[in-house]
This record gives sequence, structure tokens and C-alpha cells, in this order.
Amino acid sequence: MRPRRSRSALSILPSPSTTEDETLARAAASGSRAAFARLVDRYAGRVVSTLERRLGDHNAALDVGQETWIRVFRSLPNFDADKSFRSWLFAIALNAARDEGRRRQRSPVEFVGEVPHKNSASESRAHDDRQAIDRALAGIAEPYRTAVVLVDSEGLDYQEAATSCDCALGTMKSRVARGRAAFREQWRKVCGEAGTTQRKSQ
Amino acid sequence: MSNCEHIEDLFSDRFDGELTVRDQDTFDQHLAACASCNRNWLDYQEAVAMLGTSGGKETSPELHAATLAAVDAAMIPTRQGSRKKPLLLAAFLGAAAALLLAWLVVGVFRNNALNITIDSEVVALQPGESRSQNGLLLSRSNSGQLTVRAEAAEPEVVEVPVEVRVEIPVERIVKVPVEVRVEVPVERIVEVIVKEPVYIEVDRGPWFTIDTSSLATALRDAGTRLGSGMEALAATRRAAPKNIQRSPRIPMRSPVAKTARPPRQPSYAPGSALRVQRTDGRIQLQTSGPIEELVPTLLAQLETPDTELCSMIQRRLAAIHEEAAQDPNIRDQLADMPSGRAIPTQERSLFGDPARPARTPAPAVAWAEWWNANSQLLVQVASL
Repeated sequence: MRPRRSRSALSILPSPSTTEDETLARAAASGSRAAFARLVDRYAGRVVSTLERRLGDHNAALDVGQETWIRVFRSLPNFDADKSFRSWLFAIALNAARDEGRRRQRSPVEFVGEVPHKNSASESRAHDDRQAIDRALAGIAEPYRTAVVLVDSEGLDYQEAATSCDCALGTMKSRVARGRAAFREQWRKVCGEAGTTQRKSQ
Repeated sequence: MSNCEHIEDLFSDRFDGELTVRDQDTFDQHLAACASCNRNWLDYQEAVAMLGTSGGKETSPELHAATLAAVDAAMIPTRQGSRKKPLLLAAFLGAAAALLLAWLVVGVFRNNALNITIDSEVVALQPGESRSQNGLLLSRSNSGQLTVRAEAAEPEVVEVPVEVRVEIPVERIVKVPVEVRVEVPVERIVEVIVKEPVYIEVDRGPWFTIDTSSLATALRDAGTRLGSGMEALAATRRAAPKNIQRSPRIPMRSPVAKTARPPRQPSYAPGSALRVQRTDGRIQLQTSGPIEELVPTLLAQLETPDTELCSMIQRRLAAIHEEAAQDPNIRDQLADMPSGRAIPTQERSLFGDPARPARTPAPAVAWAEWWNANSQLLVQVASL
């Protein structure tokens, strides 16, 4: 049984103002620590979330997330404020993830598809939904998984996502379309599992 | 390709609202007639919408702090000339004051180019005016703030490490001693002539003395951020040398409370002592009272005194005296003190006025007298 949710129940966090992002990045490049801290506040969680889905490992995502911000801090003087900070940031994050992936090829880690930070007191519905989505995403091959995560989860537009992944706009659209179709199939499977189905039917 | 497969290929574009009018018509007509595709389309929308609910994860405070700490840790090896010396932090107020002071002083001279912001009351450039002089660009913003920037391509100040050390033994209240050491070595000389007379001047040599106006601005800002600003200046009291090491209990707010919420009333420290020692470019300050007492002391340590700045301080202190004299709590404190230490409302001079000796010395004057009596240790306050 598939989960049924009304669209009104769906809540998508608003994306931070991109114009303000570039202003903050410009200020951070000029030495403003407050501006840099603000950017971290805006995007650190999203970067870790994206990396977690890319790497399939929460702890590795935290490590690569920190590496991402270190690279961002060092590269801020080279940032072109006329371009999207988000795409630049996620491009750095994905590059760091690729480096991590190459390193892990020497000692592969199995994708577990779970968020390790689980509320032990009560299984919140949001937490379970997140787990289910992560399991479904884990069944999608790269680069389609990253494409749908950037566009549909993190709210980047196609051009920003294409810049982040260093590919053409048409390629990104194609990846998102295939990624969405794949995710729908995986979502069906995940929702068809007994536990999830039982929870969803409650 | 069957018609249904073709329709499913349009799902993504339809979800993004990017179908052409013709494809949109085809899509709608097919879904109206095909229950299977209609169900698949609903599933598709739900699945993709679920993805949307899983993004935009907010940054937790822990992640925020850990990320900034990681960046800081990664940047430490690249900081040229930084000398990490342990800070002895015995009290939160002392730590906050020291770090804030270090931040302010370094902040004035950090970045590659010299960048000094001084108080708008010091220099008489009109709003919007700018002036280029001696390789420095001085400008005043429309809000009145004066900024001095080095025009040189190469940084004028290459290295400005600052060490501030604060020791405040604390039981329930702040006692003695407070020690602040400020070391600001620079490598190159920068001399700025804003307007006659000279307002900003940096001496050549291994040690560097911050000019009166910029440091006063920094310290005043620091005091404001700490909560009491220069209000404590008015509370400076004469004290016998024996009180340097240990003073009577000081009725002041706890450091934490004081830092967390700026008090509206001035902090008074009857019987506090303040001592300065300066050797080879190192200034050592001790006070048994509030750390804000260091402000006039540091001012007294500076060369090139600025008469306009002193006048501004005097006016501010006069207002503080009047305000303090009307404070019932302070009146109660003063009532417990020897009569000779009461605050006279007529005397408003912090530094004393040799030309007009007061019959009953004002606390500030008494403080200055004590200061000057210990000339082996202290800079003559009257030199201001």
C-alpha cells in the first residue's frame, strides 16, 4: 500500500535568498566572519544532508561537510559573486564527496541507507519518512540520485544543479527525469515493505 | 512506443510545468481516458513531492559550531606570525574583556591593508568627504564614521599579534588583581596625518603604541559591549597602596550577569586601586575595581594625547557623576564610606585640575593624586 498524503501536508523549507547568499559570500571573502558564519548556518545542514545521500554514511558526510567548508573558506576570494553561491557550494561539496569516494574505494563501505541520529524516545514520523526516502534514494544509481537530491530535495534549479555537477543543462534535465522515474519505483518498493506500509496506513 | 509509455516520458516536464501547449493537451486527454496512467501520475507526484519534504535540512547549533571550529582549526597553520600563548582566564568577565579587547585591537589592524576607523568626533572631515594623504585614504561616511585605509598595494602592517592576559581571582565577586598585558608589535611604520594636530601616529620600533583616538574608540566600544562602558570611570576611587593587592569587597554585579545583560546603572567600586607598570613596550595594569578602570589608565599610557578626546571624556564623566549622585543605591554605598570620599557633584574632572585645587578632592582627583604619588610605577596622569 502506497503512502497517501495530501499535498497540503507537504512542507518544503523555503530556499534561502540566493541574492543574499552572494552578498554574504562577498562579505565573507572580504574577511567578515559573521557573514561566513551566516552562510554556514544557512547551508551546513543541507550540505551534510546531500553528502549523506551521496555517500550513504552520516559520519562520512559530517567529515566531508567540514572539508567542504574548509575548501569554501579558502576559495572564497576566488568566488564570482555574479554566479550562484549555492551551485558553487554544492559543486565543492560534490567534489569533496568524489574525493572521499575515491578514498573509500580502497576500503568500501556498504550503503546502509539510514540516518543514524534516531530519536530513541519516540519514532517520529518525520524520522521514518526520512529513512524511507533515504532507502529509496539508495536504490537509485549515480548520477541520477545526486540530480534528484539537488533539484527536488535541495531546491536548486536545473542550471544551478548542472553547474554543481559540471554538466550541461540538458544533461541535468535528463538525469532528473530518469532519477524521478527511478525514485518512484524505489518509493513503491519501500512503501510496499511491511513496516512502512503498516505505519503509513495508521 | 505505446501511448502510455510516451505519456510517462512527459511526467517530469509536466511536473515542472514545462510541457508545450500541444503536449499538455495530449497529456490531459490521455489521463482523462487512461485510469492506469492517471494513477501512475498521482504516484509520481507524491513520490517527487516526498523528496521535497526531505531537503532543506536546517543547520543544528552543534553542526554550526563544529563546522566553524573545523574551519578555524584548518586555518591556524596559515596565519602568519601568530603566536599562540595561553590565556589565563580566571573569570568570565576578564576573559570576555580580554578577548574583546584583543579582537578590537586586532580588528583595527587586521586584513592586508591598514584600516583604522576612528571616532567621528575626533576629526573634522565633513560627511562624504575624503582625503588622500601619505598613501592613506581618509574618508567620512554619510553616517559620520571616519575610515582610514592604506592605498599601498602591499600591506603596511604585516604582523600585528596581540596578547592580552587577564587574571581575576574570583570568589563571589571580582577582587584583585586584574592584570592586562597588551603587546602590539608591528614591522613597519605608518604615520597618518589626518589634520593638524596629528591624531594618528604609529611609532617605529618593535613595539607600537596605539594612538589615543583609535584605542579610545575601541575601548569605549568594548566597554559598551561589556555593559557599563565608561561609566565606571567616574567610580574610580583613591586607594592606599596597600589596597593594590587586596581591596575591600567590591559591590558590583557578577561577571556573568554583567556580561549577559548590560546594567543601566554605573558600576561603582569604592576603595578600588589601580596600578600601571610599563616596561619596554609592555603595559601592565592592575586594578582592584571593575575592569573598565583600565580605560583611563590605558589612555594615560598613550602618547599624542588628544585634547578633544579628553574633553569629550570629561563631559561624559560629568554626566555620569550627576547621574550617579542621584542613584539611591550608590548613595547608600557612599553613606557607608568615610565622609572624605563622598562624590562631590561640583567636581567633574577625572584627571584633576592643578589650577583649581578642590577643597574636598573629588574621587577622580583623589585617584589621580594617588596615581601621581606613585610616580615610580605610574605615568603622570596630569600629562594628559
